[in-house]
Amino acid sequence: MYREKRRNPNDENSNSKHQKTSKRPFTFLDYKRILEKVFFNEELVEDINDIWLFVKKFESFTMKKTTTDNSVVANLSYNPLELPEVFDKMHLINLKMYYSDDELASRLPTYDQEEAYEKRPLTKEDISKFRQLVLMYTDFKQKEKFNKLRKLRETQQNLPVYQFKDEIIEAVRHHRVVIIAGDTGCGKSTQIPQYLSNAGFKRIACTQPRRIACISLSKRVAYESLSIHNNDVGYQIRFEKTVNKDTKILFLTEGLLLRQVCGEDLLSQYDVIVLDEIHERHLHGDFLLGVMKCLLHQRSDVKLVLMSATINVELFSKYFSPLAKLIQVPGRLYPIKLEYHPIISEMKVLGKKSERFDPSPFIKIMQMIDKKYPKHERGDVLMFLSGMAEITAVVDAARVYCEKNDTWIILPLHSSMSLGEQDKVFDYAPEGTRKCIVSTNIAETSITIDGIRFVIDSGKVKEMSYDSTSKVQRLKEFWVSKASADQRKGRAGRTGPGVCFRLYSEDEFDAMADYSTPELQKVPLDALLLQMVAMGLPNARLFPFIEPPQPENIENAIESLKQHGALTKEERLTPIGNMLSRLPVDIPLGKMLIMGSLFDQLEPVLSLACVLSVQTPFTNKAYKDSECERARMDLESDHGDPIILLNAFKQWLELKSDGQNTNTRQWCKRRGFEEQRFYEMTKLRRQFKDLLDECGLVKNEEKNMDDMTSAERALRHGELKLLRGMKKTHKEEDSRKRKVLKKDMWEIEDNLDAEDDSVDIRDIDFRMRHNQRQVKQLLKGSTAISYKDLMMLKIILSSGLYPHIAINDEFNSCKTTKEHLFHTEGKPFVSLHPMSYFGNHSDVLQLSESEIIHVPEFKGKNIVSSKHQILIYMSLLETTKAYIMNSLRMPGAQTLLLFSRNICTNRNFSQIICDSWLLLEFPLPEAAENLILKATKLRNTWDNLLKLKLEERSNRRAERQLSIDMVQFMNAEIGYTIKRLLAADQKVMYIGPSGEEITFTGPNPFCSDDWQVYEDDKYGGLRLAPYLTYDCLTGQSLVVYDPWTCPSCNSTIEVTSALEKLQHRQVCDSQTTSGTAEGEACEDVMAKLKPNAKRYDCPDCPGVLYLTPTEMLKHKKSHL
Amino acid sequence: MSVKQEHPLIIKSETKLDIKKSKNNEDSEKTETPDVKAEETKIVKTETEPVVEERPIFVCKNCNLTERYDCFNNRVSFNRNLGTKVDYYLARDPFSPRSKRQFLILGSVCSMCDKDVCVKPECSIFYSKFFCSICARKYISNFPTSIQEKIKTTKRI
Ligand SMILES: [Zn+2]
Ligand SMILES: [Zn+2]
Repeated sequence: MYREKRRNPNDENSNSKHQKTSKRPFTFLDYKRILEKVFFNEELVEDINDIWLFVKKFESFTMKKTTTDNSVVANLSYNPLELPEVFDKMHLINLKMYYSDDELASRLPTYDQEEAYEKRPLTKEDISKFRQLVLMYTDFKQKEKFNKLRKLRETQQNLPVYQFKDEIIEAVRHHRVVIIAGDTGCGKSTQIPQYLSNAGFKRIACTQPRRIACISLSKRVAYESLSIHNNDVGYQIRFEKTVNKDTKILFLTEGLLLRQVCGEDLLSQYDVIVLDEIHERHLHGDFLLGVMKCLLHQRSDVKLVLMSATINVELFSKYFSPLAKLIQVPGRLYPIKLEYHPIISEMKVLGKKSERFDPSPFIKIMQMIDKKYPKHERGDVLMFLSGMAEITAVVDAARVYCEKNDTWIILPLHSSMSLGEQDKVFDYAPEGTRKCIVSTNIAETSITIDGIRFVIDSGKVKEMSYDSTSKVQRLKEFWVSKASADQRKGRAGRTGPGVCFRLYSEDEFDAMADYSTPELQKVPLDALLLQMVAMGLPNARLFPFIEPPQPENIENAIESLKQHGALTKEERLTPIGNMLSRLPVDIPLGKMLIMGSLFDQLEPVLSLACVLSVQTPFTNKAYKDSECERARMDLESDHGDPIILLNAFKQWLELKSDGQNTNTRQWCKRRGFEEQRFYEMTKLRRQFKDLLDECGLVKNEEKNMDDMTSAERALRHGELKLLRGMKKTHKEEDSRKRKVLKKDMWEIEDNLDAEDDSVDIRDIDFRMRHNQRQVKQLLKGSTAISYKDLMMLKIILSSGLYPHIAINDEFNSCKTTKEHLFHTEGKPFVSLHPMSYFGNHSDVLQLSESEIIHVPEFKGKNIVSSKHQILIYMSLLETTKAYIMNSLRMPGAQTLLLFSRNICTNRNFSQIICDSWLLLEFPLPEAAENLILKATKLRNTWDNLLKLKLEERSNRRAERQLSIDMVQFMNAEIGYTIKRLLAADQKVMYIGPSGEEITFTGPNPFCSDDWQVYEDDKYGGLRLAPYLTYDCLTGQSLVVYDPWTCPSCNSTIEVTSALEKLQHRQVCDSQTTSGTAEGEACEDVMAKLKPNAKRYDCPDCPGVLYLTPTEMLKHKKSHL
Repeated sequence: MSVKQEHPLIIKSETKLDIKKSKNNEDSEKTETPDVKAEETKIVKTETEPVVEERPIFVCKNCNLTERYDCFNNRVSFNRNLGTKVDYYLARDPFSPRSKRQFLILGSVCSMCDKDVCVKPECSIFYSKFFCSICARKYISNFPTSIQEKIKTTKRI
């Protein structure tokens, strides 16, 4: 070859020269660069560094072995196998390279390049030798990989479930429903889908209660079935999927499968449906069981596999009897010693109920372990406590104990901790120490920690329950169920024999309920029932729930859906109900999002919905530490918590977008915020936006970066590269750091400065996901720019949260702020949460002296004012007391008239009862008349525009006008009283139906003409609109109507009721305003607001004012 | 007990109808917003490689190892540098990233008895040709001495 020839003479020279000058023996390692060029591309070896390591080892090995020639001439006189005549170890290698030595040698560079290194050039023999090395390496790698596969198969075969493989396959072939009961660790979740797939089932859907499990199981199963490179195994969670038509095993969330039931043709895309973890009894899991029961009737070809822990298996088996076949897979559990150590506290001895939680029994058990079990015997401790406060108390006490006894590492575990912090519980304790995990029931089934030998069980759990009548959520401590207690115990025997200490007596255990309450019995059912109706299961009352909820809970949920306008009176799905059923969020949030899109306020509403959906970012410290409170001053808003949360989110985003990589971690710490929550908000916001995009409520413009300029793109590219580098470094450092726990870990945790030096991985993640422009966009979307926007936001929030309203107790003005009480419809006498804005500033909600209007002619003990305020709140939470959570203040009468589902009035509108529990009284009936007329106009327009919007025929201009009108309406100044009606009042307030034929003639000022006016069969009076009943109250004095002069047409007419006046004006206005300019109409609106207003030329003010007599007085006063 | 009776929903016709109806609703919505659907199919397309047929299964007649393989050949289509000296059951290496284009040798056919066996030392040996362990032991005297040693010392299954 040309090149070889050219350098051959040089070769020989340098060869001899080299051998003289260098004492170092020849090694391929000196030729890395050249050999890499000659031999390697990505197809040959996976990791080039790895092969050099191999070469190094090989060379040092052969050096020591004082190389003898391997090739021994075999004595093959008779060769039936036709083997090579001469033995060569290379014959043992089954691999070959597709390049000849000549071809490889031709790739060698010319000698000149090597001269500088004082090395002899490589020869063809070297190449040949190195080729052998490479083949030996690849052969070694093949064996290594095959061994890996072999180990994997062995582990699979050692799983308890493997013994049942054939039985399970047979059962699924011959039974329509197969229930497999086996405890965590038996391998059912990973193996059974593979067994079924290998047995020939083509499309297997496996549901999981948690999204994260879908992803991890899909990865694991793909790995085990050697199909990470194709689509045989995939997962699907909302907004994310790795699935196509080749997918044989699909992991998906329960919620998603439910959605597919209504979307596609009865799940006909699956031949086996596997529901996993059904014992957890989540809302969706229970619902799915019912849906599957229905499905079995319609699809005879589908196979159902239910997988559960060994908890209450009979229930499932009975539910699907006689179709179900039960297979029990015994778990792998070592013997566990059980010890009862009931707590005998002094309080109990004295017969008092102990108020404070006492951590000392837990410490005593730790002491006992220290005494009884030698340190060198490994084994960690897992404690089960009911809540965060108890965990903190035990952790603190245990750390005090550790100061004397340095053999423990104490780790709290709680769902509100960040995932990173939670991860610590999986690390190893150093030799001679035990880790002690102080956990809620999260470690009972959701998180499995290896190496636990001792379990200390308090026997308690804090659980949220829901009272659908008073709409109160209760967080209370309960005894766990026997099933839970045994589950907790079982955690001690997963890796070896263990001990379970129960801090209660055997009698107390015997008194426990057998099983825990399913979620279905503890949560609002609104969203679930709505989804059922949307799925075409029209009557929830008849749904075959595995354990049906209380009938009144179903009724209350249906009632609530009607109140929200999601269902008609006949329980049919409304357009807004249909939209709500497609948004997998709570109904109030869903409604807010829809209204946000209607009023072009979607961006801030999205942010609001997010801040209200995640746990509060306020830490306990936030309200205890005055430093924190001071630092937070600029975020406060006297409108209420949602606005403050929005402000906080906005400022946090501001820091993220200032381009200076400000330390937001510190910013949060100083203000008492848990930063994790803000990250969650941004993540959730993206999901909400995708959801609305899916429903056609918003166009998601942020999806791509196409609108970036090339310079921006380049900059972003650089930034991403840098961030990726930082992330990688962090990961490496982290993995090195975290294998063994440090003893003094918690000291660092509290140290602000120490933490600031480390990489903020969450910040890096955030910045990788959002470019500057996107953050700015987020920021823009989290700001209420003007007062108008703010009021509109509050209105949108109210439209979602109504009827969650509360009013002041009449005696609040005589009490201190902390003692203020409020009333809601379902629950009187509730307090403001101490960790809320109004809980600390409840005076904002009280009327000031100047806001009280004294009306001499108006009798009654209630205060007249135009500034009454009511609270709109997210939820009621009952712990020791019932508390209002996340509240917002709103103008009273206006909000009620705009959102009440049921408004009853007397003949002249001076009395109005809202939703049967709040009475408004107006000293000036004409003012009330106009206020309610205006309210109904707004409501009707709102309804119409929403209808158009849902039909995708939005009228942008009208929407804008409506929001202007609405804000104006909220500011109307009309004096009134507000009073809560007691049950006794309610009985005598209504006239009741007359039973006579009602004739209604003339126009209806409150509703379109297609509304059929009728006598209300409960209250009497006239149902003038779906939500309005006129003239049905008893408490009206006889009003004598003077002849009335219409302000529009100036004619004087005899009227007998306020309705007649309104009817006249309706006709009159339609005649006069038709054809007038918009400006005049606007002025008309102003005049309408204050019917008794007269023109007033104030000598001190420019322009003309229209004021009522009271206002005139007040106005004059203001100039004094 | 008939489940139909116990079942309070009259699903037979009505529910089916209702579910169908809601399905139709969904369809009509989809046609109104065609970009939604277009996007869905787009996602699927970008995720999918050209459709792979059901991957065939290789079973070792000696130890029952059962694995799906991609081809029986002395090379794989995705790696042009490295191959095997005889035909093997080859699979894409499940333990390395796809971009590395590595393959994994699962097993082959014994050159003497035509049986499928895997590359486990207990099941087969390669010396210039592929032999199942049974044949290797049968013809042990015909191998070079160092190989004989090897055949003798490997465990049996
Ligand atoms: Zn084998
Ligand atoms: Zn053979």
